[in-house]
Amino acid sequence: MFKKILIANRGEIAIRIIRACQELDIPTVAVFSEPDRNSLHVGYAEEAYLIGEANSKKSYLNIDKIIDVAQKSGTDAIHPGYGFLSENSGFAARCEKEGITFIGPSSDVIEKMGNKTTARKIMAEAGVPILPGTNESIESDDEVYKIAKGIGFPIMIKAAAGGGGKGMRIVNSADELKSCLRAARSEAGSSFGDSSVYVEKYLENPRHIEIQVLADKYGNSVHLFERECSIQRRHQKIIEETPSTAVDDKLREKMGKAALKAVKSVNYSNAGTVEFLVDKKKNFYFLEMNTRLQVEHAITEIVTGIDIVREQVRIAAGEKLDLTQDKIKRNGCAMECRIYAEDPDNNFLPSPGTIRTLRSPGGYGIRYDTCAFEGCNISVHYDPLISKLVVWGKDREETRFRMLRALNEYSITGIKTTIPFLKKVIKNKFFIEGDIDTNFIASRIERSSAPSDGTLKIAILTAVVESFKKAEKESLFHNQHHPEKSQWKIAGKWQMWGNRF
Amino acid sequence: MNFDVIAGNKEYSVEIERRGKSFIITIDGEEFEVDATLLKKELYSVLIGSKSHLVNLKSEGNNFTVDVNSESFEIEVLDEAAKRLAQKTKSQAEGKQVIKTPMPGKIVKILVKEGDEVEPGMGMIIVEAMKMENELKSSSKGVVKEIVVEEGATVNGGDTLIVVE
Repeated sequence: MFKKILIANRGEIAIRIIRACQELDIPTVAVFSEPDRNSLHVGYAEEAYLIGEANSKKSYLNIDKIIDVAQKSGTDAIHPGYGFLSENSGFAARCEKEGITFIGPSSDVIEKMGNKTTARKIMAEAGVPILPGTNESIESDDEVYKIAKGIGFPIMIKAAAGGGGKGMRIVNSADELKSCLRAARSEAGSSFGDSSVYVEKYLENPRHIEIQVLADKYGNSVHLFERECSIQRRHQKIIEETPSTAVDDKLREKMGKAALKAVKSVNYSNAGTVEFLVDKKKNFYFLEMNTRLQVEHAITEIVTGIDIVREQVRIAAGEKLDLTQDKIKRNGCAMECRIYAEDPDNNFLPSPGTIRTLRSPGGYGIRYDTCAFEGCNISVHYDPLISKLVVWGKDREETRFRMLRALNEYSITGIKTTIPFLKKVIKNKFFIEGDIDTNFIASRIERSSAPSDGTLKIAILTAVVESFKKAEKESLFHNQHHPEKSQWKIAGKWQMWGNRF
Repeated sequence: MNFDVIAGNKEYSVEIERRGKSFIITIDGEEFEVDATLLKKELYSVLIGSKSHLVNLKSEGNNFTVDVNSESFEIEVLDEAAKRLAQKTKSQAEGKQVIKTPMPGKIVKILVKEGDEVEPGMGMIIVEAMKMENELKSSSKGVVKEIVVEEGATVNGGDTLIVVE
């Protein structure tokens, strides 16, 4: 097993990984950027090193600096978390070269799966179903137009190096093509440093369902069932659940087998996720493979009882998978809500700032993964995820009601969050029926509903009481105020008394 | 004691008096018995009749930010003196819309030019922040009077970008 693990990440996921390491009795090393000096992951780790400025290119994406810290601290393994360097094959290769274990698959697998067009090619060859489109990235606008005509609008333009919904545009007609291409290319360039894009047939209102896999270095692999991730804004998930209301045992088996085919086709090892789009007729198509830990991994953990991060570390250390497919059982349901510092009434615009007050949910069946605390700053420099609220229930309705209860307990002030929006989704009648797809937020949720009159009255009443008390205090102060008996003198006397004891 | 309360775009006429540990408050003639106690910084337990609520309240002079049931309200509570003052300043700024960036970022694209007529909901400018492109929209009808920034410029939170009249 490893002597020491460096976590090349920040936020809630850094804490999640530190916790797993501590339970394995492995010391941890945190790295942080200048504004993250006050972040919680620094305090949770055994050691912590400043690696650069706020800009992630100068800190969390700074490979040389991170490797330097790893060597200086005597680290023999690095966990990349999600985002940042987690799917950077160059970083994984550098770790391999320096003799540090990268907790994840090998660099060549990351590279193959990271290039979405190469991944499509490999999957097609392995017999995993893919959507019609190109298996090469495309340079000219004309070429995109030709292909679009061939497979028919709508199409999806995607960043070849992409993921996480960035550099992605739906094109409904030829008129939109130019502006969409521009936007996709520029976002791809700024997010991934590679502006090449490819084209895929756009499936109308599909579900986004993914399969979690674990594979060791000896060819053993299992899947941990599906996660339903259709509730998305800007192609980024905000609510996930398992099991999916669209997946029956037969489909689960088929998708699980396809995911394991994908794993075997590239000799995958460590934890990974195979994402599929599923249409109304239960056809499924390979979307991409995430060669890292997912944000939403916790829902799988609580229904299977398997600690995925712990497994990642064990597998990376060369241990054998002690799980077999028939031993993996699902117990009940789980749901995750992602709480972002965003304004749902303003197109989910990030709402960075300082959390003024925080009341977190608790009780039976609740798992609360966060990096937030009262007074902490949600920085403009990084992903605005505040916390993940994960709940367990024996069936979907119990889970849903528990989630609603937990969201009602949860209060964050000082910045705008997705909490009110999440409540709206959890209470939505189509969501209750499990009638969801990736277009759910646009089609089923009313954006800005007027606040309820009753709630407004509560707010007014409280504000008026406060105003009244203040006015009372002021008039009392004015009436009693006397230079010889100033409040400071009284405080001074108290202080003297205090010193005598 | 009498207050004028402004919440959203509405005004409410409110009366309040003490009754024992509670308050009797009427909002536009509707009466409530309210018992509000401070639990910790900014957190109140509020009993209205016997209905219980947890309410977060932050005050800055006459202005309150109140968070309850996951909803957030900006409320202004004015006594007689404050009312007169507010009347004066209000009428000045009307008819003018200032598009500001809510956060630091980079101007990716300006979608309008000076002199353009804009409609409510029309995209005005694209700002990149937190690695996402965000389109800021006009909230009213008017004519673009001034564009303060250029494409590619870096802006700070609260900076004025475009003025519409």
